[in-house]
Amino acid sequence: MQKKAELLATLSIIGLLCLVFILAVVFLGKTYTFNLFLLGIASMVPIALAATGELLCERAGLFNVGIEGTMLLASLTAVWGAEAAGHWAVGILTGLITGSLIGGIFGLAVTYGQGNQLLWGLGINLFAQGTVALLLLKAFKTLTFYRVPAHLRVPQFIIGNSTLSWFSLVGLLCAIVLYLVITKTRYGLRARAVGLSPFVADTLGVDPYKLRISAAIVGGITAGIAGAYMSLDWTGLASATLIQGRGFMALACVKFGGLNPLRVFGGSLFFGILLAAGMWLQNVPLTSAIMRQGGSYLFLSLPYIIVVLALGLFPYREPLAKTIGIPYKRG
Amino acid sequence: MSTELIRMENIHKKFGPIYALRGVDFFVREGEIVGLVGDNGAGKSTLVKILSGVYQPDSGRIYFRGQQVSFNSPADAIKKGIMAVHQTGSLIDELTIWENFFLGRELTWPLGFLKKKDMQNIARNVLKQLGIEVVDINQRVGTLSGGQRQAIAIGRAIYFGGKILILDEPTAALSLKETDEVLRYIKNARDKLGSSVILISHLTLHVYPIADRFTVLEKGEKIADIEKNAVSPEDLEALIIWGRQGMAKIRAGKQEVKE
Repeated sequence: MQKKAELLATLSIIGLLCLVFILAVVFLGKTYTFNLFLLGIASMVPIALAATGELLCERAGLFNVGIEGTMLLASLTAVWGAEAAGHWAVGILTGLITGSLIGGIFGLAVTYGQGNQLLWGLGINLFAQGTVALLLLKAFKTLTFYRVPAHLRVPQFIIGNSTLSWFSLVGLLCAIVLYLVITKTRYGLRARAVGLSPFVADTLGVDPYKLRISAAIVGGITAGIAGAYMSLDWTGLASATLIQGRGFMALACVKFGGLNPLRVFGGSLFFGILLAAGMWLQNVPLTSAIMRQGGSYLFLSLPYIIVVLALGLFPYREPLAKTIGIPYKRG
Repeated sequence: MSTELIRMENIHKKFGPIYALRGVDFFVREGEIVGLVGDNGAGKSTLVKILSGVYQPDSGRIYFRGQQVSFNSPADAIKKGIMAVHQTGSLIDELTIWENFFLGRELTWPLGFLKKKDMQNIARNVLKQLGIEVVDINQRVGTLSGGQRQAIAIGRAIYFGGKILILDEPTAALSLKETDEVLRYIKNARDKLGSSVILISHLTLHVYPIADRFTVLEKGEKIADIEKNAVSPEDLEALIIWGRQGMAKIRAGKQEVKE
């Protein structure tokens, strides 16, 4: 029964994507569709990156709501790092380190510290909001946004009359590597075991604390890279409202991807294309009538509406990790 | 008598206001099956959880082959060859048989990739030697019967060279036939490999036939430590049920017989 429902859900997503694609080709022509698809990939990358890290955390039994805040903070520190060193690669590295630090603190707090994972995640988000606003003012002397100089942005390669960042390949690579790690390696087996039953894993010599901390650090790193991508690569901006719920979308992807890396990646591609469609719909003659009525907000909210629908409509799966959110206490 | 493998001295453990263990001494000799018996809440599980590194004792000392040791985590105890099959769970239902069998001691290729085929074959062979025919080694453990699950847990502990096997109520939820089989595995482990076994149960019927010695706990204290040939199954049961008074009754009974 469950397998059938899962298959149906996967097929419906693929079908929906194909339908969108065919409609786009028919109504818009090939170049337009191609550009839309590239935009979709560009907006997929941060969601896919953050989702793969979160997926590993959830498999190991951690629920990190703080990836939104981690992305935001990393997006700012990445710009700062790139400015200081004068090279974008240093910026990405700064974002990565920021993410791993936040992930490490989260990991320590919810394992040895026995902290509540939800509250720590929310705390990270609030901390990031405040800190980024403050740092923007102090370091970049602005209240709204800071534009990253062109020479500090990640180089793009040009396809047709549009561009694509090589970072989108990193996103895809992350998903594949994580799939292999979870299903084929010792670390993956141990992470799954800790997520299912930390006590049994512990009595067999797998330390759930250390494993969960390492998973939280990996999750932080991917969220950090996602944040750095947002600021240094895609938008070229540093701002307190840069992430716009992409961290939460990553959470939704993990949930209805059923903790399966490849399906989660598919989900993030779906969201990416939706986000792109939302942005693109504001600028086409087709929708000018709606736009005059304040339609831009409608189109921008489209992906979020679909997140809610998808979460509600998707069949509930047997959890692949039973202890998500529950701290483990030895003895 | 053979040498002592493990000695625990004056172990105290308190959970909040409740004393789980009050100065318990406990020892295991090499190649010996010790029946750790007592009624529910006597502190049996707590004692072996301390020995296997799950709990830290509030005070007391543990010696391994005469050297003082401290187990901060189950991994420390495993390094000394102390393998425990806990009552609160020893297998993960959602994982397959071979994954459960090798969890924590996986065979891997470089980069940490699992040697799946090798592990499947070893698990299949080990279980076969124990007399368990598994239909599919990729079966999830949750679909197996209680006896099969215990057998896998015990087989795993034996295979990975447990010097001391701790079995906490291994026969608690098993049918008569399964109980019989599990007791046979335990005896095999001792006879063939010379492992020491700590067998916990509150059913004397299960422990008595295969144990060499009994340690009886009552409300966190040790009330008796008797060789098997010094006690009958009835006396042992009386000891568990009535505690110290039971012992007094046994002694009174024996004196009566003598007179």
